[in-house]
Amino acid sequence: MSEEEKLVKEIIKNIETSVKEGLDEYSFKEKFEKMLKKYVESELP
Amino acid sequence: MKAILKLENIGQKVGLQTLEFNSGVVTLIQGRTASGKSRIIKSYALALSYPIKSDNLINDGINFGILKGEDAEYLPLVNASQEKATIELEYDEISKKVELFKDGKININILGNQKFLYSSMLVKNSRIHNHITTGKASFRWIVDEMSLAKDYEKIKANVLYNLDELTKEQEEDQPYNPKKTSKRGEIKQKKLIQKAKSVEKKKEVSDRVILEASQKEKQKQIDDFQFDEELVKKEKDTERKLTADEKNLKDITGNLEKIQRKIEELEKQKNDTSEIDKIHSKMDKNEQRLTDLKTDKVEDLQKEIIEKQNLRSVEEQEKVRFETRKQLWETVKIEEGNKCPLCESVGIITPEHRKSKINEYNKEIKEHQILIKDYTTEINKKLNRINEINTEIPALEKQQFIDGDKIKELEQATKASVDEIALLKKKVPNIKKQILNDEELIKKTKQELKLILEEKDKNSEYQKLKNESRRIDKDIGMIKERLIKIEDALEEAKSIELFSIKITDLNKAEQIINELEKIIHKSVIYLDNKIDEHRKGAAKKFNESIKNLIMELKFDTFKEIYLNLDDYQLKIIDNNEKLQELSSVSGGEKAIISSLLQISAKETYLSEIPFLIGDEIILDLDPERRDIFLNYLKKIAKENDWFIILTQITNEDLEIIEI
Repeated sequence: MSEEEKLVKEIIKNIETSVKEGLDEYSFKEKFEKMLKKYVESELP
Repeated sequence: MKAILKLENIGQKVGLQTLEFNSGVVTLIQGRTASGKSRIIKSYALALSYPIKSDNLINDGINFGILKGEDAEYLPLVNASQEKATIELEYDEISKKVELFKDGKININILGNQKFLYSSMLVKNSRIHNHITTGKASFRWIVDEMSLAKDYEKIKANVLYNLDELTKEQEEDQPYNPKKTSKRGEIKQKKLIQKAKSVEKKKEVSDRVILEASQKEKQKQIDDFQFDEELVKKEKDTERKLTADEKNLKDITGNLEKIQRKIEELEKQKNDTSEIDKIHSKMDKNEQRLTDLKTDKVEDLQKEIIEKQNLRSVEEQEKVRFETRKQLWETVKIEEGNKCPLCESVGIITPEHRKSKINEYNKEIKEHQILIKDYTTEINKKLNRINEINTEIPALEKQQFIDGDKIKELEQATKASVDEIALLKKKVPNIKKQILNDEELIKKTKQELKLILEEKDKNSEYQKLKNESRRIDKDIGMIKERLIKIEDALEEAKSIELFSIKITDLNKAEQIINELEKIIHKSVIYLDNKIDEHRKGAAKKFNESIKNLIMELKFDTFKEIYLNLDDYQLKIIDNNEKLQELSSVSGGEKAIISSLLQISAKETYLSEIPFLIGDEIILDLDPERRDIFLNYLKKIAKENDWFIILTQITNEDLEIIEI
């Protein structure tokens, strides 16, 4: 599984958890951006 | 099951009011107008729905009169005279307490469910009712609000925001603004900046190199220039000397003029003999007078006076003698035989004789009087003369002495002037000589200065070179400053921040953005599917409930009412299987549709909260359908063990609470 696919999977998991737990938009936003940041870091040498 | 509602300071009612409701039945609240029926409905709505976070629902809450609008000073449910109101609701082991404060603050111990306002309130201004009565057929909002589609929508908006932040292209004609530009746009702009700055930098570097070369050349010319640094000093010294000489000459010339003026003044003074002449003339006159006064001797004059006095005395005696005779003649009696009073001869004395005698004597007296007067005049003249001699001679002699002194003094002054003139005249040639010397000196200094200036003019080329050199220095400085700015801008344009990570390789950053774009797109596709799935699920459930309700109530007006699963538009199929537009159905039909949808929404989406409350809405139905509807409400109240609480309905076999 590529890094890209891994991230998509992780995002979806996060979406489902957020919805299940009663959506807290701020918390979701924070987590989502954290995942994107982590991905960017992993892509850099 | 019982529900106990305790209200304190709610609406118009001050103090505590306790109401008890039974589940499984429809309860009708009865009371006069403004007795507080709606207050009870509103209290239920607030206790069971608060807190309300949806913007749409906040407006509905304000319309219902349970939330405050922006301009409201206090919560509408709080009694205007009280600072605080409370709503307490107990049912099925649940105890809710809501405290409402005049300043808008609310304390609540158990959270309510927002869906309550959409699905459990049979009121005229509910959202469903408003949509139906205004002919708005789109009901996507209800499937969103009543399902998880709304949450997925919010997540999607968040995800898309990030996508937008990353990928939006920069518009060509818009200036670069990091705050408004997406990352991709920023990269594009930065690449353009890099390109532009690189060209600009090259140009600046070339300019600087050219200028530096030019500066070196100028410096060399300056260094080679044979410039006598002493020249400027000499010029200044000469100028100072010239100024001093000129001042000196001015002073000397001034001095000479002063002396010449003085000489003129003294000459004038010397030649002016009018005063002496005047005194001489005066002295001559005085001398003549003295001579005149001295011609008469006082002793002679005194002798003459005595002589004249003696003569006058004789005349006076004579005069007295004649006056006595006259007196005798005036007093003698004119009688015949009288004797002459003088000669005593007897004769005849007549008045004519007496008169003749008196006239004779008068004549004599007069002559003597004249003589006396003449003598007196002469005596007085002599006396005056003596007086003149005695007083004038000493005064004149004294004056002659003073005037003599004055003449001597004036003559001495004249002599002094002559001496001074001689002295001053003696000085003049020297001063003139000095002036000539000074003039010569000035001429010489001017000549020197002219030579220096001529020499300096030759060196103006040096100044030009120096100025040019300074200008080049300044230009080089400016170019250097600009280069630093370009370097900074280039440095800034060399990197981009993605999620607070600085990336110095813009191509790499662009590649990452493209990958993130793909990832986000995939996430959005997932979210779209989930949204669709939940919407459709909620709509299907809703449609099923409406269908069952139509069947249950046996409303023959419509064959089918449902939400279209593609666009969530409300579709109304009449008994002729014709599609009816919501906007074209009658008011009564709208009341039926609204009630059907409201009950269906309650059954579909919020069956777990055992309350359904209504205010006036059923009144819009015709009596037949009102009965059917009411019976259905009784049925579901019993089946679900719900509390169904209504106001404003015809009296049926309902539980009634009088307030």
